This record gives sequence, C-alpha cells and structure tokens, in this order.
Amino acid sequence: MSFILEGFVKAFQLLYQGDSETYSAVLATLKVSSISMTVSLLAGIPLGYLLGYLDFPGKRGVRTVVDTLLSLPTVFIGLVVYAFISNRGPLGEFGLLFTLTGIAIGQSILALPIVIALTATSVEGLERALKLTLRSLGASPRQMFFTTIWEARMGLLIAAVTAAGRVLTEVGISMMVGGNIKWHTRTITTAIALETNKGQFATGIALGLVLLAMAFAINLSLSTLRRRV
Amino acid sequence: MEPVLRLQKVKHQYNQRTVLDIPELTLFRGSIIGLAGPNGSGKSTLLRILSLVEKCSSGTIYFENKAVMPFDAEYRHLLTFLPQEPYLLKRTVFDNIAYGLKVRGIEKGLRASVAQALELVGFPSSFADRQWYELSGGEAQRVALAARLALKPACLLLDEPTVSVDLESALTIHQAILSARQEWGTTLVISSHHQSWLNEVCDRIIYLYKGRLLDCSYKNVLLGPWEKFSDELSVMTMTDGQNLYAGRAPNRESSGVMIPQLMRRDSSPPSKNEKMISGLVTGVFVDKHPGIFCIHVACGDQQFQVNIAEEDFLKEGIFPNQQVPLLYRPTDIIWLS
Repeated sequence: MSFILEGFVKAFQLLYQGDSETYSAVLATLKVSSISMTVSLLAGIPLGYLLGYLDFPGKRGVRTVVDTLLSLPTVFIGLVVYAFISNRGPLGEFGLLFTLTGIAIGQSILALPIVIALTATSVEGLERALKLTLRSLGASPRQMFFTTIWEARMGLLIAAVTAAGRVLTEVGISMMVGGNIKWHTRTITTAIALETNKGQFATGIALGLVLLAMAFAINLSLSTLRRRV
Repeated sequence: MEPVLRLQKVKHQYNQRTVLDIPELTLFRGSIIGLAGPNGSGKSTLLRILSLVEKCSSGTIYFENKAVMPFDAEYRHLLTFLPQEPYLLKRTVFDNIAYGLKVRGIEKGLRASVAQALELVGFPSSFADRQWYELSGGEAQRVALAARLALKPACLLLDEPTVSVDLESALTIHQAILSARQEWGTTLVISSHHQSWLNEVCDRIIYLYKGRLLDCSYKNVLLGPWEKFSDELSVMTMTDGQNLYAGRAPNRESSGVMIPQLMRRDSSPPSKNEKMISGLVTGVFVDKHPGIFCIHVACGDQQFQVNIAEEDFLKEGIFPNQQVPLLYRPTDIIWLS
C-alpha cells in the first residue's frame, strides 16, 4: 500500500514542480484531443442533424451502421489508420505516421459516430411540431438547421462530452499511430501505460490525476452551460 | 373580389390513402373563411397545404394567380400558419415572437413590434421577458398567435386556435385574430369546431368530409351509418336514440345533407310525408341575411341548423336549452356519396 501512497505524494510534487516530461504529455493530449474534437463536432453535428431530421430510404440501415460504430475498438481504428498512413499505405506520402496529426485522425474517427448518433437522437427527440412551426414562421433551410441545433443544444452538449471522454481516455490509437515517442507523441494515456510498466507509479498517478481533473473540468463546464441555456 | 389563394386539382395521400381531394377552391383577399368538418376530415392537411408548409401529392397552388411551390422563398414570408399544437422555442417570449421577424431580416424596431403583438393578444410588454417554461397552455397559445400577428401576414391560417384554452383566452384569441383583418386586411382561414363563432365571423364556411369539399350552403351533414328501414326509406339512429329517416341511402356509409331552409321548427303534428325529431336548442344566431335567425339544435351528437324568420322567432320566444320539435321530409335529404 505504501508505494501507492508514495506515488500520490510524488505525483503532486511532479505537478507542482512543473515536471517537463509530465507536462509534455499533457500538452500533447490537449493538442490532439482539441483537433479531433473540433473535426468530429464540425462534421458530426451536421451529419447527425441530417440523419435525425430527414426521412430517406435506407435511413434505418445508416442508423444501424452508425450505432455499430459507437463500439469500435480503439486498437482496430489504430490498426486501420496505421495501415492507411504507414509508408506502404495509400496516404503514406503525407508522413502522418507517428505524428500528433495521425493520432488526431484516428481519434476523429473514434469520436465521429458518437457525435453523429447522439446528435441524431437529440434531433429526433425534438417535437415534430418544431419543424412545422419553423416552416410556418418562414425559416429557410439554413435557419431551420441552426434553430433546430439550438433547440437540441442540451443533447449536443452531452454528445460532445461523451465524445471528449472517449477521446481523452483512449490508448490504442495513440499507442499504435503515435508510437508513444517521448516529447513528441506521448499522450497522457500512453505515458501512464509506459510508466506503470516501468514501475514509475508517481508519474503514472500524476498523469492520471491530470486526466481526472480534465474530466472534472469538462463536466463542470457542462453543468454550468446547462444552467445558463 | 381579388383571389389570393387558389387550389386546382389538389390531391394529397398518406401511404397511398387519399386524405384530400379538392378539384377547385378559391379564397378571396381580405375574407374570413371557416373550415368545418369532423375529426380526420382533412382540415389540418388542407391548412398545411394552403400555407405552403406541406407539399401536396398532386395539383397546383396559386398565390395571387401565380403557381407557387411549398417552402417557396418568395411567398413563405407572406403566409403564416398557426398549428393546432404550436411549438414554442426554448427561449423567452420576446425571442419567440421576434423569431419570424428576424428570419425576414428585420432587426430594427423589434421591441416595438413584439410589444404591439403582445398587446393584441392581451399581454403587457413586460410579458416579453418570460421564459417559455413559465407559460400556461393558454398563454403559450396566445404567444404563438402573437408570433404570427407580429408578421402582419397577407394570409393567416389557423388550426383550431382555441381548442385547448380556457374561455377567457379563447375570447382574447378570437378578438386578436379578427384584428388582423381589421388592421392589415389579412385573409383569414380558420379551422374550428366552434361552429357558432365561425357562423358569426366568417364570410364563407367550407365543410370538409373525408377530404372532400361540401358546398358551403349545406349545413346539416348526416354521416350515417344508414340501415334499410323499408323499400323507400333508410334510417339512422342518432346517439340520443331517436331515428332519422331518409330516402333510400346509396350505401350504409353514405353521407347526406339537409338544407336548413327545409327543416321546420313547428309544434303542429307532422303531415303524412313528414317526420318529427326533438332536440335541445344549443344556440341562436343572427343570420347574414336580414330577418333570418339560425337555431342550432342538438339531437345527441348530431347538430342541426334550422332557419326561422325574425317575426316567428320573436313571437315564439325560442331560447337556449329549450326542447323543440323539428319537422322534415325524409325525401329532402340529398345524398352526397
């Protein structure tokens, strides 16, 4: 038990003293998750809106595919992205393997189905009278999109938080596509895995605490936004 | 009068079932048109098609003699529709009323427009700061109406605007609706089960039955079912147990009409060709034609309108809740289908 307690004490020391290796992993995590979340929200919200709002042939099939992708294993995504961006892959010439951009691509693929599915569910959950009301008030398709998204804002916030939680805590993509390179592509989760294997519990616990703090910050901002909107 | 909306050969289907079939219908500018008919007769569908928020399966809609398409950008700002259960945006009353103005690109004078619309539906301007969740059902309905009135539309179409509100709200809504025509010459199309109000305010009442228009002069629509009574007569048993006789119905589900002028309110015994029913007076109204009074008589859930001359009305002293006999000739019932 004592090594765990010692680990916590050392963890606070590392964070307090601004340990550069620890903060490098935190920074890499923040960078890569910001990019992947931006991409997945920008693409996922309009796609989720279309999936939830429109009735089209094959909608049920598309919905089933999107729902299936919710449980995509991160190592599988890592494998597929690795295959595409490695030197032998079709995107090999872009030199994305073992870069933060490569990890961001994989994490965007991970987050996108979550954003699409939860956005579609929120939009479907809105009363059908909304569409009729907006049309009757003369809204254009663009105005209807933005108004509907605003009406579904709570559901969208939950979609964003769920996706962020998955992105922040994944290991498989970061490990396989990023390669866990110190000072470069080492993220919080890959660093925890490595440090634990090395027996460096203090660094692992310090990074774990940072992850917890990030999750807490996200949920705190969600509950604040809930009260405001 | 100038036509404002015209439907030509309009048909609408849901799952290959025809719910609306209107060969021709013209609505004139500045008039008030009432839509009456039983539930499921197609009133709401007709209103959605007329207000260009729903595409009909076939046919053409003309607005000011130009063929228009649903959601047409040029025309969707001239018409507005109040659904039976309007949706309020999850925002303040101000935002809800100003929404339609904003989508039209109006940014100046919003406060004044919203205050004016609120006043029309009987609210002070301070009501604009209320949140949507602070409103009762009647208040929400009035705010939804205010959101339409703020647009000063050329045509305002309303689907049962007072169906789920209290009497006070209903009166305010009635006044606010009429003010639109008074203030801006708005053409009003109103679907309502409030028959007496429609009779009072409408220039024309259109009766819909199973998606088809019945001539607006037909007031007493008899929907059956009909059973064979004899070789010459069919009979319909009304919900109060009385029998209503008619000439042989084409089929069990036929619908027929009895012209109000051919029914008599008379205490004398029926002649050989006449039958008698008895009902409760539910309302007395002044007809648009001078010297004529309309009496609404309920026999169970079947409503009859009977016309009576002013002098007879005054002499006999008819009043609501009075039981009265009605005489009719079964052969006067005209079959529509």
